[in-house]
Amino acid sequence: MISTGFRPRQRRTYKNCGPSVSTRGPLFNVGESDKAYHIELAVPGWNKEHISIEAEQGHLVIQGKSEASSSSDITYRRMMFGPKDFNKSFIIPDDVDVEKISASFENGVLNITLNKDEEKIRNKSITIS
Amino acid sequence: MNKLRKYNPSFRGNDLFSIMDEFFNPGFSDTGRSSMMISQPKVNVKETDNGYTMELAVPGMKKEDFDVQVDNDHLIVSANVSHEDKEETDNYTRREFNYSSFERRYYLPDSVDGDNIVATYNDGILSLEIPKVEEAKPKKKLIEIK
Repeated sequence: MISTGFRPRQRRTYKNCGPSVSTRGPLFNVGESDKAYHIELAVPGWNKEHISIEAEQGHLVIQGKSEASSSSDITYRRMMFGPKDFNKSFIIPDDVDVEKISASFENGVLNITLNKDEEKIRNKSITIS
Repeated sequence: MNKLRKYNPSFRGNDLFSIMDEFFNPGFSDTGRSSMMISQPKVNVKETDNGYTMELAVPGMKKEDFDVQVDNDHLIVSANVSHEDKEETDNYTRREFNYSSFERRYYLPDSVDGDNIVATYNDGILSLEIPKVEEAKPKKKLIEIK
């Protein structure tokens, strides 16, 4: 595959385990266009104040810390999801301009755009002499 | 992990074809419509004295995308979005969730009032407030001390 960069860091061997979704933390999609990579992280029920994104030494680390409030008069009959703290990290591909990583939050999806470095894209093209 | 499989009929992690697919096409089966994608929302059900609240985790939608119906004693929640524009511009290399098309049916017990269900969509969670009928609410009687 072309973009080998985007794997969850702690789960690099997932292919050896057969088909699976990431068992820990939010589900995510990764898309790639000519100019950028896009990560969509499913974080329903979270608000952006409780999520942090850091780019550090080639890794993109997304953390969610909830201030879980439990009210005693509610009984959960079924609980399949909840505001569980998470820590998700990705390897940033080499052609990404780390200074130009941007993020937005809408309807429970955290969208992160990692723009590719134009300089590096240009260097890739080989001129025929 | 077990829970995840149980509630997602499209998860065919154990069937022979998806294992073969994964074996012969490593990397390909995580592009788009693969068996590892989650398309059925997870659900929480809470109970209070006055009713139930169902929460469906369906991030990335708009409230217009949903259709919530009560059909006799069933509650039917569905969504149908054609994200055609998006599919074209975004070339997914890995896709774990896509809730743009699903349908869930829930049986409503006699103890709830199906005519007065209120639905809201906020921060990726579709909440359905299902009130109990008066008879089903816990009866508390204050006994006066004489």
